[in-house]
Amino acid sequence: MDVGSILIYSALLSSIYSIWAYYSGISSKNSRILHNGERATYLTAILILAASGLLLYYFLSDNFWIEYVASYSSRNLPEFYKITAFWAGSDGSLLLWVLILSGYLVAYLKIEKKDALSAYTMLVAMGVMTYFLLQLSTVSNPFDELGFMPADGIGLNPLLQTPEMAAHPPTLFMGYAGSAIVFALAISGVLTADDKWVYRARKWIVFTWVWLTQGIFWGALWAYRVLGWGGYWAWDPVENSSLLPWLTLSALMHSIMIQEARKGMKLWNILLAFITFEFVLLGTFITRSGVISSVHAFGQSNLTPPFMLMLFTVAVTTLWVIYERRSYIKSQDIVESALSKEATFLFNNLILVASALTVFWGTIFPLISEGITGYKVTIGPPFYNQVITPLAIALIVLLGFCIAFPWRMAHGKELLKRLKFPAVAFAGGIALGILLQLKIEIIMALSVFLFALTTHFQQYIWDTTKFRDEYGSLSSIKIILRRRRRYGGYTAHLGLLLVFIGIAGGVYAEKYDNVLMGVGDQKAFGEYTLVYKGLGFKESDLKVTWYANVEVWKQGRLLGILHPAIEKYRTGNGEEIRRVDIYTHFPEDLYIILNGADQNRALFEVKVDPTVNLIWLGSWILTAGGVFALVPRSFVREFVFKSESGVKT
Amino acid sequence: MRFILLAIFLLSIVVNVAAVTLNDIQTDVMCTCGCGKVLENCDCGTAERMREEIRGMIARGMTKKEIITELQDTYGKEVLVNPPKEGVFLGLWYYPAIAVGVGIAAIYVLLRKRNAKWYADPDEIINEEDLELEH
Repeated sequence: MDVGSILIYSALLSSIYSIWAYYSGISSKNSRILHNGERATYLTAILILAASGLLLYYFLSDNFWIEYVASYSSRNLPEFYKITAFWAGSDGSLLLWVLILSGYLVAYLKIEKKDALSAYTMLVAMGVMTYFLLQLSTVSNPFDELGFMPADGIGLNPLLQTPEMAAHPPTLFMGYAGSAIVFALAISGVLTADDKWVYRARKWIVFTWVWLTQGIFWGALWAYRVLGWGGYWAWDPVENSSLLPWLTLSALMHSIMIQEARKGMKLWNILLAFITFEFVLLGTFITRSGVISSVHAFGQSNLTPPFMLMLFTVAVTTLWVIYERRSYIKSQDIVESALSKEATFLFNNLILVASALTVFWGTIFPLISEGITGYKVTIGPPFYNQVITPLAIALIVLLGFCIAFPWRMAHGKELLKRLKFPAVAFAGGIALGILLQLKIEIIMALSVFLFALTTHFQQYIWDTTKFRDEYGSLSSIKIILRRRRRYGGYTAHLGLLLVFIGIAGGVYAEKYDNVLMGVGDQKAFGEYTLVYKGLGFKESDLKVTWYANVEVWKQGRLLGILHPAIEKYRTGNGEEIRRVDIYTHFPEDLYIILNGADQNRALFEVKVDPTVNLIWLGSWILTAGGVFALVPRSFVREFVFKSESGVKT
Repeated sequence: MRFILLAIFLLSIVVNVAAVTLNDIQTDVMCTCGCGKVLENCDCGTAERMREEIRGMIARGMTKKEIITELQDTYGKEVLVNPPKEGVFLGLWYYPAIAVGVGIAAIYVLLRKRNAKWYADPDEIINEEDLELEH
């Protein structure tokens, strides 16, 4: 048996012991036993870290005795991709999931207060950890041995040999594992019948949301730059499963504010934390099981029974806890007026959750249809585009209203004042669209975008002015830091607006063509002129590359030379992939794919997406908004407000 | 009158036939190579063969419905990108509207109850000490 397996089994035992210790400590109110639970948690984390380090070492040292290493690495694989091959397959990525979860648990123990809420949280979280360790020990052990040493490994799928794929799984798993903490906190909050879980959960929710955002961003960027079909989102089941928890967590991030302000929405918040975690489990399952066909899935496996059991257990536990604490969950009323921020949050939750349930429905519908009709129907982009587009537009309109409405109650005149400029911007968007003879869909997207954008800028200015009056001598930067939750939210909204307009521009104004060019030929494409200068060739131990030399001209000026390529790998099954090349003129991309070539001619697929870079920029701004809202109080107090005594930071 | 109706009917058939293009079909069917992509987004050999097949059917004057039916007969019912808006599949299309409708009804009920109390400004809460919050 490999040392790695022994480490995994030991971690499992330690994890089981910690569950017992937390449970006994809570039951007997014995802090000594609870401390033992903590020690066992640390030990589990150390053992998982050691197992992960060992697997990494096996990759770097080409230890093909280990089946997982032989399946996803080869001797000629660059060192960097030997590291990322760690999470290229189902078993290794599950170990990464568990490693990240153990990091969260250690962080929780270091950061949070040691009280009943924490004890319950650790109990639930270690339950999740034990489940995954059980999987790693049985059906998904990355340390399974081949029983012989092959001369070389099969190699890493060329599509995964990209920086984007190096970043996508770890960032997404940071979000996935974080949702386990949010779920554990929610369940524990109900068990202890105490609202303080929402105060404690806020930072974990935002932190998790930031990573989910990053995970989705890197996944989309990978699809765009690497898969070579010119898109970034195909509504594939695996893509959908990463979006689902993001949607419900975004809803939770808003609805916990109502619990903080009004002590309402208690049941709803628990359900959102629960469903977010269920979506995370579902995503982990879909990617691994092959139960729903996906271009991104690892393939068929025998993981259906354990995942079904876990999904069922989480659901039953949550419902039981809700039933047991039904008197605590009874919420108070949450609005004083329909014209209030609270009311807009209700609609925001409705749209986000309806979107999530719709995407979920479309994702699992093939299984339902198989049960009813005997065959799996395919649910493709047209379904999602048709049902999600109206929800997305409604969300953007609401984004504008949500910012314009104050907490508690708005008065008619005040509201008119707040909506005057945004209404003008909305009308301006329509007029501009008509003037530029844009498509009706673009005009609609542009006008709601400008409406929401104006409310945000207006509110930035008004709030800062108001707070300056309130705080006297504080500078704008200090005011923004003081109100970092609000301004972080505004910033994230701005990012979302950019993502929205970036997607709308691509969907409705993209140009696309297949172009056959002989050497020396020129082709006009939109505002660009492409000149094909012939085919190049290079080879290495890893692959053979044919690349086209395509000059990109605009208005008589050479902008650059693009090299879209076809690569044939020497490892594995000799996969052949197309490497796209992109000329970026912000926010536009000229995107060229080489589809085939002989000595005299080459066939290209050329696309111009006028706004795609707004999506990437918007994603970073979304992330920045979340990070800004997370700036710790201790940092603000120590470094920013040191000289201002008496200001709460 | 009958003649006019017949003319309109025949004209509609002609318009329908003339309107069918490769793009009309390839956005509605999947590539069958197992890549999971819609045919219009796939450039593999299988996709190209399917396009040729579709072009052939268009050239033979088949309507969109006939082409789709033939493709389903050849490749199985799952070749369609989306199921039809009929029979058991209606649930797929109406479910989102039902979900939103139920949600709006729930919000209507919540908005009618207006005895809410104000405990704290969420903007301010992150500036409070944990002890103040938790006790």
